[in-house]
Amino acid sequence: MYAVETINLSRVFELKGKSILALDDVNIRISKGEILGLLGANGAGKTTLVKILSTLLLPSKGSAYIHGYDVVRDAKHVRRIINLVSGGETPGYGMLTVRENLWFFSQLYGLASSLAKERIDMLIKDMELEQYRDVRMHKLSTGYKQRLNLARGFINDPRVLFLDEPTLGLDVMNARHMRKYIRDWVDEDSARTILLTTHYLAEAEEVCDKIAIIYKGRIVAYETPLALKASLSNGVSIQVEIFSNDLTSSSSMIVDKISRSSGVLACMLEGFDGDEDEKGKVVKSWSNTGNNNRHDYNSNGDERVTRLRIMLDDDSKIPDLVSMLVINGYKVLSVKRDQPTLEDVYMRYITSINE
Amino acid sequence: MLDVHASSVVRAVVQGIWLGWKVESNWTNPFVFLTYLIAKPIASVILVGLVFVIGSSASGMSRDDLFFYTFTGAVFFIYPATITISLAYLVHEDRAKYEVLKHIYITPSSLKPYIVGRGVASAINASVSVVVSMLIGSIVFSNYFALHLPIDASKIDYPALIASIPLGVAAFISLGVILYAINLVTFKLQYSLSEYTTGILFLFSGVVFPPSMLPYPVSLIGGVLPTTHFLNVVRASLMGYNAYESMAYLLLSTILMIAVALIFMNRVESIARFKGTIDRKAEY
Repeated sequence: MYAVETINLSRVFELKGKSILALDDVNIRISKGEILGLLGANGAGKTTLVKILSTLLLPSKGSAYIHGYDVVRDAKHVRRIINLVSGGETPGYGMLTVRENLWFFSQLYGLASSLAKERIDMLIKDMELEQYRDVRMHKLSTGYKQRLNLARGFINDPRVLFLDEPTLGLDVMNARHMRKYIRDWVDEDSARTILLTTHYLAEAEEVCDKIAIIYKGRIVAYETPLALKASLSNGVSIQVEIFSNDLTSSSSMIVDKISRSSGVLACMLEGFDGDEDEKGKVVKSWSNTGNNNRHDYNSNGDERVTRLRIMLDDDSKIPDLVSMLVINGYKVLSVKRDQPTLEDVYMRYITSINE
Repeated sequence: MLDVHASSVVRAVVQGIWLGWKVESNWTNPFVFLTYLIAKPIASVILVGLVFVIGSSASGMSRDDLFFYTFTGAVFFIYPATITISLAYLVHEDRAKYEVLKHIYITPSSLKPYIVGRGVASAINASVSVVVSMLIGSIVFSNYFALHLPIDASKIDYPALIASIPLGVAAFISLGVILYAINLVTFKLQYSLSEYTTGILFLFSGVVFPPSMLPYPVSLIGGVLPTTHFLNVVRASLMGYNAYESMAYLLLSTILMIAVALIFMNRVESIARFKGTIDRKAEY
């Protein structure tokens, strides 16, 4: 029996007379003791899937099971063994203290008083909330509210935990703390399982045993991070740093030009986090894990530097690419060959689908 | 498994009461809260009393038993008003302000025990207001307006009076659950819905005048409202009259209201889950 299993799961939303397919025949199987990372751009269907699995939303078609329980018919059983943490939210009652908020939820899960107290103390310690134990929630900073939110997610020691973009809006230290905690939590007990949605590729690579890439409601790749990267073995990944004196030349123009060149499988700005526009075209965006100096200036302050990540089908195409950049008025500062990353995988899959 | 479920249901009700009390009382210091708890209902009760005084002097009549009818109606109407308003508004608070609604929904006990707990917390608050309003209101009107409540403490039917409170509260919580359910699938009714509902109850339930004064067949509406029977039992028991018939009607209307609320809430929960409104915030 799988911890989580979906069979041809689909969901259609009706919006102003239009049908929007949010999930399209999704099939996933997550074994116990596994962390599955669900990668996708905004609107790809990640949260819809989590909502269905956590019994908040009904599917339009197909079925989903948590430890063998149907999320539609056996919702009561499912709710005993799951919990959900949504990033970017700080659920809780502001006038209650940290401890009181956790106590409230422990009781909704029917925990005996002694067990609840013990677990609350443990979670307060684990989340480094000791000095805020008796502080009202509205007085906490966003980072500590998020820690409280995460602690709430563990209050019933769920068999399956859904983490929906848990590090959204967190600073680097809090995000790192959160990632380490969830990895350790699963490693402690092989019966625990996590489904983590994110659009931070580095986060998925660091924490997850397997990764599913979801695009427009469909799972387009489902493998271990290593296997996904190995699937790109026929390509070459390079990092290129260029600059142009033409201040009217936008980064997207550079990306467009390179993408149309012969032998280029995909091209994106360094630090890309996988957002797409309405037509499914890759657009630039920066993740909290990436370098946010996208438009650096040199010591003179007037030259524009852009870092690109390019996938080529063959390394013999590198000289042609450099020539093309020079002809188009760009100065190539450096070209560095690199190991394929999940960014490359994501970019490759999305680009190939759009083609 | 059943024990675990029963345990989580009981604990959810208790937590609803505890949280309701915290939410209602913790926003300020105890003195200010106590003043609010007492001043607000007294103000409304005295307002109703003054309207009675002005109306009766204009008509040249002033009868203690009519005053008793109006005064007790206004005081005990605090129960349905407080409970239904607080439960109708609860969805908005939990979904948009505290962002906890979806997390409560996905617990094993889910929403219903929690809502009941919050309703009981409101009923406890209402009880304080009712007792204080009865005491202070009767003193004020007796001393300053020569209006006396014809209540003889030795004649009060205490068992009937005490039994009417939990029965009435159960009916009003059920009504609150229906309003809660409507707000679960809508986004702009949290204020108006409770206002309309309490307005309808006030008009048709014999709060300040008997429903029989309304034109037929509108006057029949009061007969199906538990508020009408609740107030009838309260008045009869305070006067020491036989309250059994009204009690039977109250019991029946309460059972009916509970059944309707359960069916309605179950149906609406399915709709909310289908439409995805449990965690959807208002777009304004």
